[in-house]
Amino acid sequence: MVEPLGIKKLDEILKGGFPDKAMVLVEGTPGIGKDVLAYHFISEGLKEGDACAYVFAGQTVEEIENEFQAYNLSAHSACWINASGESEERKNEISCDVSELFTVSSAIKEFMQKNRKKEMRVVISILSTMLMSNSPNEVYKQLSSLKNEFKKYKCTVMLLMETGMHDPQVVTAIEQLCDGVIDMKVVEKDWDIQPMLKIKKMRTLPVPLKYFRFAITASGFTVSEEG
Amino acid sequence: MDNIQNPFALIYSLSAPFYFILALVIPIIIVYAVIKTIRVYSVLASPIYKKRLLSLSLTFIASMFYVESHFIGAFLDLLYIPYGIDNLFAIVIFMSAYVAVESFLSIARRYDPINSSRYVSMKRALMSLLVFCCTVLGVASLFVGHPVYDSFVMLFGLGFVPFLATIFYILWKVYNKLDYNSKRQIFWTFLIVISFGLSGFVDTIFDIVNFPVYLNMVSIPASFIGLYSIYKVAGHFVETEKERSA
Repeated sequence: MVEPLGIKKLDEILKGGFPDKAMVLVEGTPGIGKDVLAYHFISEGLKEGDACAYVFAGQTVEEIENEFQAYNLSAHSACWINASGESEERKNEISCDVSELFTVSSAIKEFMQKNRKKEMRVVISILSTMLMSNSPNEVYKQLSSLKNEFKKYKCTVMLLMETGMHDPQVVTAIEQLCDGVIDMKVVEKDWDIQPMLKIKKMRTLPVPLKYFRFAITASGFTVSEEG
Repeated sequence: MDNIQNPFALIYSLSAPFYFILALVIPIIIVYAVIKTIRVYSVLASPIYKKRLLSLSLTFIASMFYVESHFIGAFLDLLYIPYGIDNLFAIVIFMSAYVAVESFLSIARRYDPINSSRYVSMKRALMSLLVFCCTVLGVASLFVGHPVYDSFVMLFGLGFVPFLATIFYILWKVYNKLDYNSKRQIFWTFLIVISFGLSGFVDTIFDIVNFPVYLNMVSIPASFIGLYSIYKVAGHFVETEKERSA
């Protein structure tokens, strides 16, 4: 079983999508478009009938919904887990506080328990925020414990992390914890600047150790030829 | 004869070719920065990071135009830059610096959502100083060459110092909430603004208080610092990796 992302070329490279119940780390330069990849993951999951949750902080649900719409993607019926520490809760929104990690874990578990009969997808877009607001050891422990819960509840997870913000040892430890790692970076050659992605590792798949060019346009995320 | 006896005045009198070379080089740097900005903009997806790139780039380019207008003014031996064109560039620098700091605050809010309201109050304080500085500069441009112009420059100084201080305070507060490339960009961009902006400001103050002209020479080392900062900023609009590792 695989969980497709709805990005043709990337799904081909991944032999259909992310492995079922995998925890995949997407790391990359700030602003490069990791969020857009996550929007595709959520939107495709909703199309497939999966229950989807998006964990975020420092933004409003409206702002994120507008970003989905900007790429012609839908997040209708997704569950929003707001880790900004605000108390106001709306329909389909669970509040928690990123500086108190157990509240984030509880919110995710609450979502999984509510939807335990369905297949699930979760995007945790606040991994960098979690690492900046808490000790890396604590974050690692919470993720390890959540990983077991994800497997139990048939949940496929995408974690987003900024590069150039954390200790390399912390990054390596989190990479090892995950079943898959996708690296997104800007590669420069003379005057040519290209955003590229590389599958650094993916459970159950022989991974092509190559970079692929990608572009983010109004129609969303597209992966093109080999870099 | 006096000038020849004073070594500082002598060095200053020989500095004209330096200004001339800089005046020729700056348009090339501006074209390079514009091309690089367009290329990097096309690979960014996040609106916040796009805003950060555009505002930093505009701060940088407007600083270049500001310096260019002063170099041309120095070269043509003008006491005032005609029509206060330099003031208009300074307004653009202030506005784009404000937008750049605002984008850094937005980035910091994402990584530190708990202190979000503190960042909003910092933004408001900076906005008030921006309005004051830009209004004074805008009105001053209408009185270029008039005796009242100097009073406007002094009044502007009252806003400029707290504006810079507020920017430094904000950047100091958000610095640890940013990625490595943002930190690097903050450092070099504001070194450009300080080295060129402050030297232009000091020039004007020296003129007003009638210091000897050769003391304006302080702008030469400042220009070197500024040029090195330009090289660092233009090379790192976005974190990149050279192709050999791909």
